[in-house]
Amino acid sequence: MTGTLSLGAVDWFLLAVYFGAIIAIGLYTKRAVRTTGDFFLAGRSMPAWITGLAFISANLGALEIIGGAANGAQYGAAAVHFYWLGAIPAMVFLGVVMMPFYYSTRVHSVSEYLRRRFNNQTHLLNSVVFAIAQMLLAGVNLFALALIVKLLIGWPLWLSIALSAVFVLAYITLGGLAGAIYGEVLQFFVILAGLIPIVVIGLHTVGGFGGLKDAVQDPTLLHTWQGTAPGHWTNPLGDWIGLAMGEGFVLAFGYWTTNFAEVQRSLAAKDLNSARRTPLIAAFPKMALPLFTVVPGMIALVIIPKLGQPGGPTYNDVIPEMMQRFLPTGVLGIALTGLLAAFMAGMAANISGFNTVFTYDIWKPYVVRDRDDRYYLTAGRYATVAGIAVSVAAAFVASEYNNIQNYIQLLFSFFNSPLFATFLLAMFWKRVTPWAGFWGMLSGTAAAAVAHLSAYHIGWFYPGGEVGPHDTINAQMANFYGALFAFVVDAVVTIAVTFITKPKPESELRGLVWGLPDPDSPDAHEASVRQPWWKSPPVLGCIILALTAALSVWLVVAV
Amino acid sequence: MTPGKTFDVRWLIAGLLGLYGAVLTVLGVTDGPAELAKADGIRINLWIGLGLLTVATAFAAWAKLAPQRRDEG
Repeated sequence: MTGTLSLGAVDWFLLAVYFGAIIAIGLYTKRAVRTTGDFFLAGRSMPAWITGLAFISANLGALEIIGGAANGAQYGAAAVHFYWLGAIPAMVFLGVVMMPFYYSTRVHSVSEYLRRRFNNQTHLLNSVVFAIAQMLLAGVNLFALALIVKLLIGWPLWLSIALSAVFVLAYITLGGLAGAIYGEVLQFFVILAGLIPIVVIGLHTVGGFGGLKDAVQDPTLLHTWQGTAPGHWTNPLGDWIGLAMGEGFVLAFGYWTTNFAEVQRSLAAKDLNSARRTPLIAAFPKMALPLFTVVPGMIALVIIPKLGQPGGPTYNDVIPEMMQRFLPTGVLGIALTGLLAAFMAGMAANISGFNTVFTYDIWKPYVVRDRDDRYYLTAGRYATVAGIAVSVAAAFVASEYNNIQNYIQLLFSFFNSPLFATFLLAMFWKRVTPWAGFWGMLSGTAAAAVAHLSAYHIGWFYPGGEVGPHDTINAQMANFYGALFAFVVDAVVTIAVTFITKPKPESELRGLVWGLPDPDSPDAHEASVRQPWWKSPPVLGCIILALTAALSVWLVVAV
Repeated sequence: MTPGKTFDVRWLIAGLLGLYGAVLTVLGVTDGPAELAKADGIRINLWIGLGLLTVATAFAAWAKLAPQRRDEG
């Protein structure tokens, strides 16, 4: 970008109104927060459309928006895989199959499920890792926010880090999860209102979808499934094994079904049916998102000279560049507001996940036990303050490194892909023993680390199939295979340890494992209520999968 | 949390998007040649403004016609 955005008074006004509304939400929801259940789970009172929008927003942080556009520019049409393949099937699985295990057992967090299903050691291992990862991720979000503010407005890094930390602090410590969720719902609409003008003007400039297709020079950038044959792939994202199994299965299911920052939104729903519909409702906007991220990325490739090449703007500059180029005062203010809001929503999701796990899964069971609810509510608020303070520190550390963002996202994927293997076995095989859960998780994570370190020496991941002195690795493909490897190691170790250790008695596993229903389930009455088809999770799930499959086929045929 | 009958996020959405829509619509009507040229000839503020007003009206109507109850969803 040349210079910062030229913002008018109206743009500042639109920005100020939004953040005024966010603080008002915090102050308002604070009045209703009396117990830890109100603070951490929004009292399990939300209708499905609200938790559904919050679910999608928690994953629509600015990192995802800017990264999605960058992927569109770098990988072309294949970047839709990150949405249609890498999210939708996993979201459907979460809603249709897994949600009852989380919601009906009344666990507060994904970690707490591990305590009930396995043992304290597994629980503590997962909780500590999760809490640390969330603070680091919040720090990365903060740092990325500060960078973008510097680029767009010209403020110094420290000022935007401090300001946004204060905003997130205000609305989470006051209103808890409810404050975060209402903020996320607002953010969803604002970010869309900011992205739509970029897409409309961008498409108009290049002559619509037909013009875009003709203008893209490299034909592989129009390929989604073409060129994915193992061994001699030409697709920008590698072969179909890595794509379908690594990205589509292990990475996607690991992220969407075990990431508490997401699952927590569903747990705030008012009943089991609403909790199950939360990820399903979120799947519809998710399906349309490539239009607002991948498409601008591909347009940018056509209209911005030297994009992603030495001396030109980086792929991450796509959205800021297009804002500067196309948006007049008015829509510009909304796009800026949406982008800043998205950063804060991403950070808020990390922090609200952190404070819950810290309070419920670390402080309450292992540090200070048996105190009244009031005490833990206060502890949760202090944990929020401390979590934000640590993430600010992490943001300043991150600013010292160039590539820490990729590094931390990679670290996070170390924990998610093996965790999914553990959950899958835990939920569908009652024989899996407590210690099998612990060792499976630990060795799966170690395997992910080994896979990452060795991938650079394996020719399979390089174009042409050999490690040449000047070749660059296909990092996404290596990442997909690494996830697959971690998953397999976790599963093998879990199964092996299961056969040499003692399982839990069935009486302790009721409601936690497939095929062992809990007769005293608090949601048992819901089973007798017949839902109309548009409220039935399996029906919705089938509609979503059919639509996504149709879109994928259409993209292969039409482009 | 029990927002009772006083807090309904639909009104908040309607209010914020309504205000945004009104501001953009006015801007869109008054946009000069420079703004139009930037947006490749599209009166983008007007169109987005009208779109936001429509969404805001829809949320207000929904909140009005189906008021929030504890078991609503």
